[in-house]
Amino acid sequence: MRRWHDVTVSLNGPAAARLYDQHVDAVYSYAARRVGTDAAVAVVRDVFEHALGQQARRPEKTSNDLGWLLAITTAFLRRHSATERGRLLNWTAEHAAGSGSMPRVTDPLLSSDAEDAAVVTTAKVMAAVAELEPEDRDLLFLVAWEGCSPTLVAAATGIPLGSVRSRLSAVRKELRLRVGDTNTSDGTDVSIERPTEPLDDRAEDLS
Amino acid sequence: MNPVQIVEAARPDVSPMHAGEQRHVRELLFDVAMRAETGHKPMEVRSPNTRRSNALRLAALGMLGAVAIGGLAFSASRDTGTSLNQATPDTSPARTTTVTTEPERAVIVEPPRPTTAPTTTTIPIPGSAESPLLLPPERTRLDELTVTPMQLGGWNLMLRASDLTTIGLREADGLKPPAPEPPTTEETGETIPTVAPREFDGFTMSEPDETGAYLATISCGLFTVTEGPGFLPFRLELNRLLQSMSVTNGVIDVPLPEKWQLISEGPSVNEFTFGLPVTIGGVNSVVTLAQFPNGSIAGAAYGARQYVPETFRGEPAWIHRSVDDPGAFDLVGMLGTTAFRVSARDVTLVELEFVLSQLLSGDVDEWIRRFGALPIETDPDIRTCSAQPSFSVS
Repeated sequence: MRRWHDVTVSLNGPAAARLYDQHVDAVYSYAARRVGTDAAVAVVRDVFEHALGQQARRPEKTSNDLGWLLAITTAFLRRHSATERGRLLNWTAEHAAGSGSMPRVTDPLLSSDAEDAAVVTTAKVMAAVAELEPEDRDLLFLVAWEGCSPTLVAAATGIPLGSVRSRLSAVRKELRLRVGDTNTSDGTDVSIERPTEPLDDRAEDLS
Repeated sequence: MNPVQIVEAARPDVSPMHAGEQRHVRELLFDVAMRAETGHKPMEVRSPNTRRSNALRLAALGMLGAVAIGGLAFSASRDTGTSLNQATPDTSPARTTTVTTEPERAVIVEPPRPTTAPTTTTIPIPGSAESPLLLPPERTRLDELTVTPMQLGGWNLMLRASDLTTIGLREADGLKPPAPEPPTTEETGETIPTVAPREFDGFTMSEPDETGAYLATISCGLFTVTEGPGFLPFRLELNRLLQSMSVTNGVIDVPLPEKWQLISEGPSVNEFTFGLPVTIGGVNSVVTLAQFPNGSIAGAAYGARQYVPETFRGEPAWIHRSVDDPGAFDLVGMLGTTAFRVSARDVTLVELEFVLSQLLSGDVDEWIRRFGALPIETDPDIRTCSAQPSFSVS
């Protein structure tokens, strides 16, 4: 029989496997920080299952694999919004210390009282974050926790590249209003060391 | 500190994904690749004591069914859950590329997590106008995946001769063909002996090829007659048919000789084929399903095969059992409005029925979503020649 247009689907395994191996840690970390390690595993599975299924339809303009995967991850994290909200509203030192890391207060003069005050302030800010619009929360966490560059943020959220900074500024103002506390000033009265390197080498300091 | 800096400072540190979890997800996603790399055998779903009894075989097949149903349920849950398209920031444009990149995947090794599965699964009802196709469960590795476009203006006949052999006829529209080439000669000038073409009423029928197919070129197209290999050229029974036929202005008149039957006829339609790996009784096999939405048994059966009547799913069907390959067969029938041909080896019809019952019902859009766009017909519509061929059976 004449078959003049056979459509043989190849595994495409190497490319797909590379995509997974290169970015699984980034996707997992992003998800785990927001919804916890248990839910993160399910998110990772969903993200890559979707990504591989959608690969043929991936927009050509998508700048890079990571931005595309973070966009999918962000979408799937919405399914766990209740979990995330609960974590934010009940933020304690243990959340941040889930893997043994707390924001480290580097000022040797700070007392434990000051540390307690910092934790309380953080809890208030996190509660305020829980009340943000989902898109604003995505933006905030991608910048503050994943260290994404504006380009990566734009790819992951759909926010126009030129609007990332202004949008983040708006988020900052809104958080200030929600917290309503002068402790969250623009000053640098408490120096807190950033725990790890940013996700993207091109990351700029947007915070 | 501003609030963003406070959030940044509160960044939780997380350990890398546990290696076991990472491997587990990877295996789910790249089952085939992992198996290829690690040398793992395909999934065993049956007792290794092959063919000890039908009961054992069916019980084991039931396991396959459970896995498949789990897969279907999981798949259904993925489709009916929160709409990803709504939440994803424009990562899937409407335009569909012609690249077919569905990852090759194996049958799910273990059932999905119960929290994501619905409680019920609907057995597919194939062959309806809404769901003309059966599709493999998601995440199933496919050994073959092809779409063969219809032939413009094509039509198929399946006849049964008085000696109970089956004969297929197919006409295809086209331009008037070039004159036949002269007989092949050796360098020495010696003519290779061949069966000479025969002249009939309005057409010339070529000698049969090795598959038992004859070709007749007529004014604006061609038609073929095939009965499979192993028959004498222009054998008596076939000659009766050819002598009764005539071609006038493209109309191929087919008066059936006495005791001949028209079993089926229908147009050329797109053919959707996939090969589904299965393990039966510890033996790996492939069930290849070709589907012809709005097609006919004649179209599905056309080829170098002889068929005998069979019953499948309580419906009339036709089966070809290979002489050269014992255990292999091709089964042709109808599922609603869709004609099908199943090619398999060492599978009973009961088992085959069970395998088919585990497939998903779907349509062409679903096929495209999963496997990519259909091939584009690049051959021009060449039916500008008048008197295109068409059958007239009487």
